[in-house]
Amino acid sequence: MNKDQAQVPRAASPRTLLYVDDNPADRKLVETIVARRPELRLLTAVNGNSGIELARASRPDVLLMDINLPDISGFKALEILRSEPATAHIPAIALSVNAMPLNVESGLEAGFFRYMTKPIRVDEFMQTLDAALEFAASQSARSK
Amino acid sequence: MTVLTKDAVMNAGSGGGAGEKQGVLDSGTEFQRQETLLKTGALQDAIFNSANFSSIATDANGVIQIFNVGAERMLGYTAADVLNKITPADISDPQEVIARAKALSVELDTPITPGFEALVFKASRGIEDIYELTYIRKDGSRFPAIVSVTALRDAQDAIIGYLLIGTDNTARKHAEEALVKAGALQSAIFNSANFSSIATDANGVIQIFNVGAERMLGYTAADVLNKITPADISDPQEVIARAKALSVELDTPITPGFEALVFKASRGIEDIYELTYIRKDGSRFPAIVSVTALRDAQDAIIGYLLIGTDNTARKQAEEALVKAGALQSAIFNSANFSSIATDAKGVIQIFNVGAERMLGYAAADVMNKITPADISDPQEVIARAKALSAELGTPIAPGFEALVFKASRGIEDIYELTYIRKDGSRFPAVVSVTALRDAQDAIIGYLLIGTDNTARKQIEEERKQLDQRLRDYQFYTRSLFEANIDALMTTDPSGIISDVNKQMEALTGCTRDELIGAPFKNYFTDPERAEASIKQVLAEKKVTNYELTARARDGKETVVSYNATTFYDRDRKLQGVFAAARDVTERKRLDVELERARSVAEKANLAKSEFLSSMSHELRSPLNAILGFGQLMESDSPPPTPAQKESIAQILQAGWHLLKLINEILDLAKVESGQVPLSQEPVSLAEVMLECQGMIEPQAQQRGIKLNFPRFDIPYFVQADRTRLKQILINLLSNAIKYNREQGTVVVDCAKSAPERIRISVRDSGAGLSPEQLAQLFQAFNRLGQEAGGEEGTGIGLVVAKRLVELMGGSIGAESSVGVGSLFWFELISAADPLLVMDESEAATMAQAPVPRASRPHSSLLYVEDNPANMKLVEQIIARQPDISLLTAVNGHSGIQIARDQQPDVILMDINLPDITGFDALKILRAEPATAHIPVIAVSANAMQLDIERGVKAGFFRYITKPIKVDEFMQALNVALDFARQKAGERK
Repeated sequence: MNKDQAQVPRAASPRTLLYVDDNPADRKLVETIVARRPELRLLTAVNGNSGIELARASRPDVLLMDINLPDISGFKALEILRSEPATAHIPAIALSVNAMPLNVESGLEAGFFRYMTKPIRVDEFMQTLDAALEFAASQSARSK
Repeated sequence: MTVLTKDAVMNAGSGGGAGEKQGVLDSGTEFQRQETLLKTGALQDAIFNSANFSSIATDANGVIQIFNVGAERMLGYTAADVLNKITPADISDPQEVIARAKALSVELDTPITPGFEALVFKASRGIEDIYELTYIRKDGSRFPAIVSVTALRDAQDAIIGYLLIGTDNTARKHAEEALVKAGALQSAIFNSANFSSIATDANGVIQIFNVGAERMLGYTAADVLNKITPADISDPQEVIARAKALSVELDTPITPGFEALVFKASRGIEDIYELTYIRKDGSRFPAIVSVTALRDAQDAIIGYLLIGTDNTARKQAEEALVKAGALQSAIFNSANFSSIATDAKGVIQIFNVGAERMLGYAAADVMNKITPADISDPQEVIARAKALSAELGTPIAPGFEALVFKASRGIEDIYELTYIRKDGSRFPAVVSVTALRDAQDAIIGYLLIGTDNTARKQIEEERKQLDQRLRDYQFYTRSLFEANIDALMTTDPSGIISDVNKQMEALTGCTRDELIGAPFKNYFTDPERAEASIKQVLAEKKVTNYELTARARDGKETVVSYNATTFYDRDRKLQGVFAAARDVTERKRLDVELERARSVAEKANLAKSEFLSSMSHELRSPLNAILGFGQLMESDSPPPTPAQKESIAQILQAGWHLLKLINEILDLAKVESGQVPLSQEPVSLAEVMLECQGMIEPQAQQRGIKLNFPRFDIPYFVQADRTRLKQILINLLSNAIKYNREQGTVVVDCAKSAPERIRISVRDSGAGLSPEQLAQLFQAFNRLGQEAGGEEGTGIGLVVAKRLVELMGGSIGAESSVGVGSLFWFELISAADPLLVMDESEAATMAQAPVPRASRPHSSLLYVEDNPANMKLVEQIIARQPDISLLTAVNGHSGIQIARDQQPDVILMDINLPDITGFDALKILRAEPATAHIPVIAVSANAMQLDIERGVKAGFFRYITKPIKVDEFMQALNVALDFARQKAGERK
């Protein structure tokens, strides 16, 4: 935990993203994309459980979640986060290779804010991310 | 002569007279004889003067002295012929005289000479003597006479002569003969101890007194013969009463006495009456007396026959008859039975009304004339005689005997016989024969009771025909039953087998005889289940496809599927169960194999889908890195060099193409795994084409190809999923562009191909396809020799298009000629213009709707819908509501954006939107505070109850189905608007 905190120092303005994906190439891609947005900070986790831990600890503004994770599925992870008051309000974007309409539908039903399929279209990714950040901002404004 | 002779006798008797006679008889003898004659009284005088008695008087030596008129009449001699000339022995049968002499000699133990002495010896000894004797007439003829001899004596008792009074016994003999002629029945009666037969002479003097009379009356014949009349043994009061009654009835004075008993008979009137006879011991009994006058050949009455039956017996008999039952009585009196009674010889004695009616004879025609054999078919009588002769082993004569032989032997006999009517026509009769017997059990006659069998014969004939038809029908039914490949059986309601066919025998390994009568359940591995099936049939009238396992005798088990129904007779009475058991072993085996094959196919299909799906995953992952970083490099800062840019462009182009291939494969997998949600609704072809034109135009321009779309004078509507229809059309259009020549043309057309179908065709001016290539179209992963060409594609597009068209109920095809081009077409089911769906009442609703409610503030409505036809409809509806303004969006995301920006009072949301579903859109709207409160009405072509429930559950305010019904739509809209205002009021 200390390590995480050390890596991600809490700044006043930057918004935080947590990306949970076991695929290093994908993580590297998202890191590179997000790096173009200096106001954003990216946290990453390589499996569902550590992702949940990190979310509890760091309270990110938006979650990016792969569905096919090595330990628990993205659905299960979302369910756990939704069940905890500390993390329940965080909008989560699914990012998956499961591109069948049924996958998309069940993802939205499960409570994902958006469901994006890989490969990532950078423009779409940015738009969606912005929508989620905006939503998160309005949520936190309301909760205040 | 007679008068003279008589005068002479009388003169002689009167004592004076003719001198020539005095010389013959001395005066003393003459006087005494006169005296004697006088003494004999009136009766003797009557007798003496009667022509019916021969009175012959002789002197002591036998010489005839008097020969009266009766003697002259009977014997043919005149008095002069015999007087003083011969003795009575001279006119008697000499043999009889000798026999009599002999007999008397023995009887009286003294020698008596044959001659006059023999005739008078007893009388000379003072013994009354009456005997039979045959007189010989002058002409030599003979007659039997009963002779009564009296000795004439003088005052000193010395015999001075003899008087022989004779009666002609011929009359009696006649009577006896007449009786014989009267037939065997009378004879039987006459000889029967049950009938008192009393015959008298003309004067009533009893001449015959049979055994029956002796038995009944207690007299012996000797007591009464020649002594009394029947009147003397009858109740005098009744005789007097009868005389009185008859006098009145016949209007002539009748003296009480014998005359009263026979007067009617003497007049030729049949006479039967009741009379009380008085026995010798003074006791009485009621008798029925039948009187017949006996007549000689000249029809002169020579006597009477009185046949009496003890009425006590008859009374008893009547009672017995009554006891014997009204039935026999009814039969006898019935016109429907011919009752013919005969005497023992067969001569008909009784012929009842039924016989008259049936045979056409009157009783008088046949009685005492013929036998029943005379009215029967002679051939049949002969045949019967023959058959009976053979049967009974005794010769039986054809004729009446043949008809009654069995009955005469005491064998009950009923047989069929053809009677012949008086007019010669014939009819079949069933004849029952009974022998009539007297008390001694002797047969006195026969009773033949016949019924007309014609009707029965006809019925039998008809029945025979019916039977034949029934047999034919049964044979037919049986054939059907046996020809069936199923094992068939019928059981009674308790499940006992009543019939089976050959297949059933084969199924059970038991014979028909073994099966019938056995419980149905016994032949199955699970008898309880078999029995339950019968109960189920009885309860539900039928069962179908009830599976049971039959077990044959040899243990072979056969799975049968059995169908059964109850069956009934004509009166709807339950007869049992009809069951057909089909051997489904083979089907079962096939089912199992089919199931296995299907399972394999399904698994294979699933495996394919899974493979395609996972392939898509696996390919996407590396593509994500390739395309992701490629995109980043392209837009990196500092920007890449032009050479780098060119390389990056190549990488990205190849990457996106690869992704497209993956997506097509995924799409095919989706279609094949049935994951494609199709929302069918009327879609305007004009609008779809316009949209497609916009999408495909850049591609066509790139290759210099001219697109030619039809002008829609008539707005065609088809039943389709809008998004998928566009996918199909785009696929065909892009193919037509891709596989065209440079500067080629693409012509799109649209026309009605059948009353309910619309065909859309896309014609290109490309190289065309060979028939072989055409045949391989619409097959996955078959790019028709374009491998060598420069065009990209998987060939999956057409396959998907085909599947989609078929899912929408349409069809797809292609025509081509090499070098000219190809034509791809598809047909879809035409639909009505949704605007025209409005019926009159809806139109009326719309007409009235414009009236704005003064109190209602202005409202705004957002309609999210990709189908312009529906959009247009709603626009028209809302156009009539001046207080509502309409906002529109063509997909989910833009709808959400407008909702956020404009804050409409109510949202109408289509479910099947091109980007996200209406459900997703609702979720997003709900998740955002700015839009969470807005009531959202779902508008969908998914009209299944499940869809509606799902919609309401998801949080839609209302769920209305397409096609939109205006009043329902307005009602839902108004409720939603009211709800929204209420909410707004709360928030303030």
